Amino acid sequence: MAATRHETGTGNEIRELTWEETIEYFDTQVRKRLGISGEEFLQRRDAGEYDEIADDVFGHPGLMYLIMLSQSVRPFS
Amino acid sequence: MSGRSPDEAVARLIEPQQRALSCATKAVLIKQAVALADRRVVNLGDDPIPLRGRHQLGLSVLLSYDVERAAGGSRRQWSARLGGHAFELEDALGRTVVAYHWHPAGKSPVATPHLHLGGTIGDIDLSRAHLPTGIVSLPEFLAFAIRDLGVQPLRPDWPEILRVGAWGG
Repeated sequence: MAATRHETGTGNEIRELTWEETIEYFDTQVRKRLGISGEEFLQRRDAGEYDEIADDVFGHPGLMYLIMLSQSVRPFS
Repeated sequence: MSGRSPDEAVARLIEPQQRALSCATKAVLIKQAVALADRRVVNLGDDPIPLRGRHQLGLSVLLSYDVERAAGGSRRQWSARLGGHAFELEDALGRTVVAYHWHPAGKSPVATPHLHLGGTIGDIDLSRAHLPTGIVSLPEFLAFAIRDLGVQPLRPDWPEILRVGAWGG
């Protein structure tokens, strides 16, 4: 897994991921938050499984965040 | 924000966001690779990021933005503008405290900027409500966290850097 966080003294450094790192990062975040793979998350997203609960941030914390992040690996269908 | 290249336009948009973040955390934004021509994402890696302060809050930040060729014959031919945000704070137990969202893409019935706030007022449960807001900038959000929620600023010039209205798309 590529490093996704590093210290900065200037406050201006931004880390840019490669495509492979983006895919890996997304998969790691989904597994950490939901315990499923990134690909499974995308399939469920595209099947509409999250449509009714995505914006329930207290019942399903982090879900909308992942949906927004998922734009970086696959467009909304 | 405009630039002579897509990279320059993006840098002009994103670098001020990173500078604002440096007021509250040493973590840095990561820019995801581009899958779509017109929708891109930066976020805090490995978030929620623990913040110093009396409430031990954790911070998550995600910004989506668009890059497009600017209309007209301007020398700066590319523009980058924000197209969505998620600014979230959670407590030490991982419970969401506040979440400022703007996600016009996707299937949410609420596509305009809004605030999620837990708890009740009287007998009204607000936990599933979308309280309307304007577009909230990251500096505004961080200023709120420092000023009102006891987050400890990491640099003495934070009031100048987080000057409300100074940043955005």
